[in-house]
Amino acid sequence: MNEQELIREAVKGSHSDFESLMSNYMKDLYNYILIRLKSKDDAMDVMQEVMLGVYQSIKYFNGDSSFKTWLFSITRRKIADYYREQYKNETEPIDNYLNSLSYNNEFDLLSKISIQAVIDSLPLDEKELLYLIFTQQLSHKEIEEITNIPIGTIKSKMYYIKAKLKLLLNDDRRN
Amino acid sequence: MEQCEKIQEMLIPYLNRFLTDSECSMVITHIAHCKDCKDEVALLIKLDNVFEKTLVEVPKDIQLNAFDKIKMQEIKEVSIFNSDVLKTIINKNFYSPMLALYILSFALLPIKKLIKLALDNV
Repeated sequence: MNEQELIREAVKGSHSDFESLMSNYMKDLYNYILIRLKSKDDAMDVMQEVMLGVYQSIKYFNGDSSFKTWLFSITRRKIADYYREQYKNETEPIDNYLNSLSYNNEFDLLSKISIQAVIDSLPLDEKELLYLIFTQQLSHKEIEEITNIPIGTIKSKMYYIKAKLKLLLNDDRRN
Repeated sequence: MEQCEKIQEMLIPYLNRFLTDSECSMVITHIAHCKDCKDEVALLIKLDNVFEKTLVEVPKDIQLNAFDKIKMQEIKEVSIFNSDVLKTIINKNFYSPMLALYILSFALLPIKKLIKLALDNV
């Protein structure tokens, strides 16, 4: 069955078709979740919440966006819910919170100079953007739908990330 | 310079094969003689390769348990449904007809036995 048929059957309530449909996206979603959550247990929790969320709302999927974009929007919200639960006293709008969240891995100065190491040192919101662009091959419009970041801001962020990567790579080579 | 800005905006869609043929030709023609844009393409290809290699497989336990919360939710919904049905039966509005049905089902039992006996003796 192709994806459209699986979605149709899943909407009708077919568990097996729903599971087949979601299994095709599990790796993409898992790697997306891992950008923000390093613990496997937390990733498992969020993944289960995503599956439940998708199962409960699949009947409302109307095809305005691609299924993948819709899935990633739900996943991002579930990650935000996870953070909201962890940091209950936060009152900031969750998108602002997610977009500003960052932690930097300690840059291992002894490690081999590599673009991978440079990417690992980027803030999480920048890694998320790169993941959606390069691994998921999503357009700026689709990323705007998932993250609620305006297209103009996405373009500026990419410009800034590429400039930073070039600078960091040049610094690494000099060091 | 303006041309470079325009082309650089097109590079990611170009690498992801989202451009039309004429747009692709425009990009290819430009990067053939523009070092900055050619370097930009090289950086983007490196990023693409790095992200491809960093993807991890979903652990087996997560694959097996990913749908557990759906199953638990359904069990919960069935339990709520059953207790709602019981409450409805016990509720005065439905008590008499439901009780009548219940009694009738027992009343039919001896009749069923009689019919069976009759058929056995034939």
